Amino acid sequence: MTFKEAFNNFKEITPEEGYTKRSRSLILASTQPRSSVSVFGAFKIISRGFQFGSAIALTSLLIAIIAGGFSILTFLTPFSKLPSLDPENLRAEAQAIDIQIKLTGLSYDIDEAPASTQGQSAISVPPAVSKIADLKKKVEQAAAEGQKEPDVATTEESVVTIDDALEQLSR
Amino acid sequence: MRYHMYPTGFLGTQKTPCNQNYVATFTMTDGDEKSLIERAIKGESSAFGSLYDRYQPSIYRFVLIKVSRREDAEDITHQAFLHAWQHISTYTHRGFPFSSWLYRIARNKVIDHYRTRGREPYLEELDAESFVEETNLHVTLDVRMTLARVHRALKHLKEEHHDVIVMRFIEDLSVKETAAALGKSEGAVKLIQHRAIKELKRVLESHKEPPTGHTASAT
Repeated sequence: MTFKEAFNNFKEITPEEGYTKRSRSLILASTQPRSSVSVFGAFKIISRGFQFGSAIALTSLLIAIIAGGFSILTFLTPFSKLPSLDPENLRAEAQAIDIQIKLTGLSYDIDEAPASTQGQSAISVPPAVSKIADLKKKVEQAAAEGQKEPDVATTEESVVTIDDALEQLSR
Repeated sequence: MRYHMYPTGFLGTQKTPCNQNYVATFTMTDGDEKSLIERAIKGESSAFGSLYDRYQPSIYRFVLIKVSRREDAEDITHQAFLHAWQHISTYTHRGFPFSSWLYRIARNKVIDHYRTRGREPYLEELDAESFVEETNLHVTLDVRMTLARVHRALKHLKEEHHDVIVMRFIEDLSVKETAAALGKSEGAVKLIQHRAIKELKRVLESHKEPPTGHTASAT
């Protein structure tokens, strides 16, 4: 037996005749509620109309607040009446400000730059760097002449140690 | 058993046993049904009586397959038609057949029935066997066992799957009518039907006693 055959058997299910007659007569004998326009009915219609109208009014108000709320607030707010907070005045004041920036913080140590670099470049070299460069030259000269490497600690330039030079460079 | 075959407007062809004289073997077209509904809305009880004769067997069958007990099915069917008669003034034709409105009322009445009474302990074997007894079908023992098995499998389906299977394959409702009765879209009904058939097959196979040749002939 297929599904179809089983379902066809289900289709043969019918109610009992006695039940059907009884049920039918009971249903048709029952009173059907009539929709009469009584005072209560009229009141109900009016109240529903009022509810609908109020809902529409509230919705319209909400839309008006959302759409034009910001522009209304600019008219209603007391701050707009203060001259100091007037956008026109603020804009005029901002345009009247004379902006003068003085580059007072910039200075060049041209005088203290080493003589060897003065003619070649306008870029100033800090004194610590020039001292290190001199010291390096002396060491290279001594190495070229076959002399023993001068004792850095005992020279005049040894006053400026490597740490001091680095510290000055970092400034 | 001989049957009168008559076109049923929205419902297609439906069989009605000859021995039930009160179910008149009339022919009802869409226009006739519309006229009957309009007259019933105006309060003409005979018009509603004709609609009752037309749809009561289908609604009863639908309810009985859902609740499995004849007394409950009779009670719920009566309540459904009483409700329909008392509220027919609220019925508005929206392109859906009148039967869909009745099925919807019956479905809600079944839900109310279970809500007020509560579901009784489900004795699966007894329920399925007793259901076939309740139907008063005069069939062989083999067919009775198959019907019990199919009914038991239907009981395992989800409610909307159950409703779609019954409406589509037992009541022969169209997808549009089923959709209107269940308050769903036609696409949703097709999807539910597909899932329901699949689930029904799975349940029947899991019971190890599938009906012979139960391949997807329902589809």
